Amino acid sequence: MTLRRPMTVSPLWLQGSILTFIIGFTILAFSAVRIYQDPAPVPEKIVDETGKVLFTRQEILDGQELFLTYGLMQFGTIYGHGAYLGPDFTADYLHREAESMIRRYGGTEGARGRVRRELQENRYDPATGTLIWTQGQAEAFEEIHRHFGEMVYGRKVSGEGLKPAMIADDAETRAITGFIAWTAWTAVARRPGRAYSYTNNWPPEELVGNSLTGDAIMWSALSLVALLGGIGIVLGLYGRFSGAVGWHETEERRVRFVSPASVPLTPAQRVTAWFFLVAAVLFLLQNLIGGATVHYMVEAGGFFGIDLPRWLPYNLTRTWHLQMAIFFVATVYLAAGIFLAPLIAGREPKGQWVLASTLLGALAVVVFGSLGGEYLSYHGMLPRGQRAFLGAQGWEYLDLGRLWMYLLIVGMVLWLAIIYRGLRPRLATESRGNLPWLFMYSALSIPAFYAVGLLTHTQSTFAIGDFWRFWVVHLWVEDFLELFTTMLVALIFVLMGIVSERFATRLIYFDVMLYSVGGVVGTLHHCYFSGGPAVEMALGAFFSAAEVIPLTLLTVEAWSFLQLGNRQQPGDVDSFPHRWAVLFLASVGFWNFLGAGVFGFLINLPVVSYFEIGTLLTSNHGHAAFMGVYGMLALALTVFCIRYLARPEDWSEGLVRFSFWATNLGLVLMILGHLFPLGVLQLGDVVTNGYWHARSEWFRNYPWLSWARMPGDLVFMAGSAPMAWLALKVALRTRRTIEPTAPSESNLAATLYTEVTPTGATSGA
Amino acid sequence: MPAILTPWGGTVDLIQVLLLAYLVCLWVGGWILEALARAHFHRARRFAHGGFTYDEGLDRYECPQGELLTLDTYDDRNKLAIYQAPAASCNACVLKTFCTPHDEGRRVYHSLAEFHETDLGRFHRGLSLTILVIAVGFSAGGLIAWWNRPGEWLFLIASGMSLMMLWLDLRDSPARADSALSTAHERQSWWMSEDRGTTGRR
Repeated sequence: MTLRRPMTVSPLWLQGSILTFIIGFTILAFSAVRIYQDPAPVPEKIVDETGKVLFTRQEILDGQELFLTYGLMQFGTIYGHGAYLGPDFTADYLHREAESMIRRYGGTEGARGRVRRELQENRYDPATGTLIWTQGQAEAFEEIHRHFGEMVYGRKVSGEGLKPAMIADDAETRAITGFIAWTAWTAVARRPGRAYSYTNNWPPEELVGNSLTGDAIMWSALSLVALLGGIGIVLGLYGRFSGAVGWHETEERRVRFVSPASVPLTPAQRVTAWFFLVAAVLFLLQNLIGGATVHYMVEAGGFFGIDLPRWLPYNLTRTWHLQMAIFFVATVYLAAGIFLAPLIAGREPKGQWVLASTLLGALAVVVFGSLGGEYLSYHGMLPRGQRAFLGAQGWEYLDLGRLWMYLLIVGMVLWLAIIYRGLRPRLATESRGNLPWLFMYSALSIPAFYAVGLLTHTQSTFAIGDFWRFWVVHLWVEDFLELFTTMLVALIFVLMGIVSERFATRLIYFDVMLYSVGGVVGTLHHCYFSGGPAVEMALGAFFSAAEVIPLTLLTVEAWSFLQLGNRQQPGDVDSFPHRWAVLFLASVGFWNFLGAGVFGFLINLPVVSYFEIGTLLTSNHGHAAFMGVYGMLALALTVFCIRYLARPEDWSEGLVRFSFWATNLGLVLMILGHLFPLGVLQLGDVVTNGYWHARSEWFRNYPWLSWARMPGDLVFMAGSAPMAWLALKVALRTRRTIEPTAPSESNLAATLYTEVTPTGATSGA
Repeated sequence: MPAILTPWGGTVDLIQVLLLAYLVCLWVGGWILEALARAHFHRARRFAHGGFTYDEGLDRYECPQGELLTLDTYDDRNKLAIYQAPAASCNACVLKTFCTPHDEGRRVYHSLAEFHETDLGRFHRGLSLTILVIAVGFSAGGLIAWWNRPGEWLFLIASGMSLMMLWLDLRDSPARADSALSTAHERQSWWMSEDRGTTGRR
């Protein structure tokens, strides 16, 4: 039996992490049970006062599927979730319905009161599954259906980012309006025995009497108290004891880096050059398509006079923009895992490059297949039954068709197998609480938590589908990718000799505990207004505020931690080959603080989210956090790895320098020159004129502010081009393979540097 | 946008007030960003000698166990002063395993590079300058939008303020390399001077 190296840190770290993990997921599991028990009901049939059936449960669910697979969630929003060019369909329907009914009832103050009462009254009978609408509601439905027909489904010419005659089938358009009408009903009909609607009175709409609930105010106030008190206590304790618990490093090591051209490359590592090329091309395309997407805000009918929506409507460009961002980051993570495995294990098993090449092929199939499927689905070029499977499921972030989702999960499992195979000799000799195993666990969490997205179907009850969707959007993206990020950075710092293995291990355990305490249950802050039970609001409000405490600590800590790389002060390029990689990491620290921290926390509380959801402040947080943290990290990993893959004559510090400055400064211009100020103005409009108003192309009132996006976008796009060029050169002319080094004995392989004593002599290997 | 009454009897649009408030946030934000980044920079620097106190007058460190670390080496190329404790003391110390991995005596690496001389300093300075450029852009936009209209003077002042803030920040930027470099050279010269009796390894 192989003797395992004991844990490098106290077992208490492992036990504490497991305990907090279990607590976090127990609470989340409880909320999962509740959401199945008490979602907003989908009636078997909706009838008018004469008993005539307006539409059935199946038509509502079909409408939801059609809404999603035609990409309407990537045009506007539903319950505040989706894209921002189009209206919020729920709020828009509700406002038009109220206006239509008030007109019909005479437009007097009495009519207003009657409309409010009629809409708030819940005439759903759970025993028969029948919901009765008044004549006013039924006639408003027809009127709004005609309006959507003219503006969305059957436009005469391209406009609002949509192509003409987008959906021609009348049965389909009627089902879609039926689904939207049902969401509007859940937004205003009072829950049985309660004074608020299924969506906790969201959206804010004066005409129907929707205003902030007492629960939302109470939980926001309580969570603010917890937040302020908690931050004070935690930061106080941290400041007092962080040094004492061994948080700080022992003696700093001085290292001399091995010239990248002398570091042996394994065959699988060489294959990763193509992964980085795919990633860099995706990054470039993602930026270009993002430019087209945001251009629809200033020119709804096209792109500088070209009828672009006919081929690339807003919903498609927006979908591709999001999907390519995810694929870009995922591709780099996969490549970085394969690249780092031999450095950790000290060797590479035979045939690993074949598996890596297979994964590359599979990845290309999934990426380009899913993007093509989305095109076919949104253009109505697939038969109805195949649309969600081959084309697009259409849930924002889970846009890709189900087939591609299966294949992506299979690909990630293959990647896991590659990593496990590469690390196996090392894993066999390590305690299961040590760094190589932690790397393995965090890699395992990536396919596992993405696979949870399979629980979301196009015909799931919306609240349930949305709940599982946010397991992917929040738990996968915001927690487990973040954990894997910490893992990769810590590993790279160990490999670069910046921190010791013991320190890196402690940091990862610390992060696991912080994420588990706040981040896991914080998932529910996305579900305040989607028609789930009210307990989601209470848990979500409390924990989404409470998650600020650990996350403040985390972002503050990360800002310092990510600057550690810079301690290996560059004397010149040869002595420190990773100048730009560590600077990209330092920028991750900054963006993590601003984008995830400040801009994320800004919109977390229910009282804020109630007015803010679906405005540009969400987009502001999304851009600063996703690109700022994951994007910059992906660029850091790319620069770190291709530095070893490039031939010395092909490497260009100038190109990377340009890319670093252009992407960072471009993002600052994008955020502070456009998204944030426009988002604040939009939030003001929600409060002043109502949600529907702020989401009805309101931003076209500020064309100069919308055009202010352009400088930042151009600078940012310019920054992505050099990376693509460099990655292309490296892929075509990858440095030759040198035989793998012998297995290392105990510590992580120190093949990238040698330790230097003050006298200048080298020590260690 | 509604108008707001001012204390002096006139009115300003709410949008003007919001824009001016945002400009103030940008001016202050740029400054806070650099201050925070500098604090994190020093925190990261302290990472390697947490718990050790530096006596500037005597130019030495003292470890939590009371042992003194005196200047051992000056690394000119990396602008680094290295302090070391006597090996015998460290090897006999009960905390040795938590302190240093070797038997040569604990070292502390004291960087002489200031924040603005480092890549990190330049990065965060670049960010804060960009924020001030955005402030100049918004001030100019406000001035154009309200030119010859009530509130014009507010944006004249704001534009002047934004330009002044940008100029002040540029004055401190690495572009003024002379000052920064001369400061660094003076520090290095002092470290290596005969008065201190140290040139290179002591």
